[in-house]
Amino acid sequence: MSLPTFIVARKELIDASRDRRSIATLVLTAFFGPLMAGFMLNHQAAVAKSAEHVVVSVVGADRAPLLVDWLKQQQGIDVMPAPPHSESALRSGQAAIVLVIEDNFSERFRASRPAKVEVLADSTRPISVAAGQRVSTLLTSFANTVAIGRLVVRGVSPDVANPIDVRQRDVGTPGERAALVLNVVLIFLSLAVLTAGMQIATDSTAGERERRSLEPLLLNPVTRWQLVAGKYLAAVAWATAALVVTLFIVGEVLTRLPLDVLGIPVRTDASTGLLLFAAMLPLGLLAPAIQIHLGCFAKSFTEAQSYSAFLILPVAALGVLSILGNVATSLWMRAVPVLAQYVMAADVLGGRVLSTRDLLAAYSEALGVAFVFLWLSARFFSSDRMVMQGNGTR
Amino acid sequence: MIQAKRLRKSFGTKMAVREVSFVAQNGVVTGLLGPNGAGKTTTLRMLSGLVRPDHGTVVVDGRDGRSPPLTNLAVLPERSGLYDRLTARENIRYFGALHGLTGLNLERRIDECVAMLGLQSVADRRVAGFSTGERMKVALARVLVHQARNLLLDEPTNGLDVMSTRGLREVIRRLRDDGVCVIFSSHVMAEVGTMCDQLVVMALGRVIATGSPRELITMAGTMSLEDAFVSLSQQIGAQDSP
Repeated sequence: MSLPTFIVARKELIDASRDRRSIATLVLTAFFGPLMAGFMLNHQAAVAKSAEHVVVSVVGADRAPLLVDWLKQQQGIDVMPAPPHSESALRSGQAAIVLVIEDNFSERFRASRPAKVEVLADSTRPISVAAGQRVSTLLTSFANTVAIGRLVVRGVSPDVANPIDVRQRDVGTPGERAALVLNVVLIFLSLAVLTAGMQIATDSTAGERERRSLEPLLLNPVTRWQLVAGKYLAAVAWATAALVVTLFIVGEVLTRLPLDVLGIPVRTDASTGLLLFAAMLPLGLLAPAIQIHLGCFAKSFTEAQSYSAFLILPVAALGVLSILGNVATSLWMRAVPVLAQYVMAADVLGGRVLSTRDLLAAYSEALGVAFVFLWLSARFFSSDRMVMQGNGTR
Repeated sequence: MIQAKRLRKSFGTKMAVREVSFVAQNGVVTGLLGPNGAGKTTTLRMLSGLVRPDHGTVVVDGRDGRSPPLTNLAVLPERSGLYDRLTARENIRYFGALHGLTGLNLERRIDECVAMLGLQSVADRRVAGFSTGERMKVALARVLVHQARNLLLDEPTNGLDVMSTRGLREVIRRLRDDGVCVIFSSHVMAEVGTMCDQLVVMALGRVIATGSPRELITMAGTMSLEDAFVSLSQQIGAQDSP
């Protein structure tokens, strides 16, 4: 790194900051991801909340007064008569859940024979599904209570009806559950880094050549390596800015969501943000080098942009893989650039400690690969082809 | 002073420059004259070190080398290649800084160049809306900022109106009178006739004649420079075809 490198980097940053298109891209990608994830999480929270207070529309409440009274006593449950045409009321969203008590319910119930009820829900509406689950659970619990009473009356131990006692224990920490949801946010973070870096990397290489400003630039007493390094620094700065802005917006969005309803504790404090930044930054060091390399090879700005767009696909795919895969145990995942960033960021969200060794490995790996791409780009900058391309051969 | 010694360059199978040798003295405007495809731009690119010659050497101010030291060269390529989103002053500042100028010294040189080319009224505007003439002036100011003693101009009057051409001619004369070595390529006869002291006529990648405009007319036995040029070009064309 030398002075000319910084002069080049500074000029590229001024240039990019005046480019409406690159500013618009930066802002759009920074906002789009967090807002989208926020919307989804908010919807989930709304669904979860709706299950806490359920209005049950009952058909034939007078046929099972005991059951209906019991339901009314449950917390967060309201019972009201069902509207006529209950199925269409369900579909239109007028009713969340409909409980139909069959005609012969009371005689079968009194005779200790299975008395039929029907729970109608609309599986296309999450609120209805959640309400349906809640009501079904309540009905089972009512049935159990009644069954125990009947067994006791007949002098039989209630345990007879419970040959297996099933209990479930979740060893995943609430933080890990949060990470699963928030991994979607990580993909958006990486996309913001990629698109921001792409703008400046492509514009300062393929764009520079297309606008014919490369030839005059090469006539300055600056080595090709210094030029490439300067453009790389500018792209890294831009990508880093995108990462910081997006992280900030993610934090702002998450603090405003009622996430406690979902039972996922999301830490939005500054230190989590810093750790996430440290985990994701290697991507911002690596991607611009590849994008600059693509910009040198492409024949035009448009071609360079489509190459860089291809780069986004594997990065997004690795993000999905990291959500599906068992991130905690797969060692090889920590060795693959990009994937390693996702895994480390998931570690941060899951409340696990980032090891210094992992961080060192990620940074040296990213910088090493970046160096190779920059070295190739600098070599290419020196060739006749770079000067002549799109310039005629006179 | 710039010396081209037996320069040769081909791109793939195409011989762009077959053999070019000439000397451009300080305080003299040397014109590189030739039709399109004669090898003028490639020759200038070899002189500036942008393209490596396959054979031959370039000597700038007595210093030999395949790539001459760029610090004492100012090169204005055919396309101005300005940065549209930067102001005229910022464009000039960028190249000045890359040449190692800093601080007050840099700002003083920018002001001098802006004044010399009459850019005061537009200096702080972004280049995006500039006319061809204004662009050429900014591009020229940008390469003059580091006060090189050798100036290479590739078809600088292309697309310029009468007033801008006159302004350019004025600047070139002033630099020549200061002792700068100016090399100027063109395919426009009238312009070369009025601007250049010395001519190097090129065709098909070769130098076919050198001398002052007057000497060339005498040599070819014609009435005008244009006729001399056509006559000289035909001679070389006859030699090359079997």
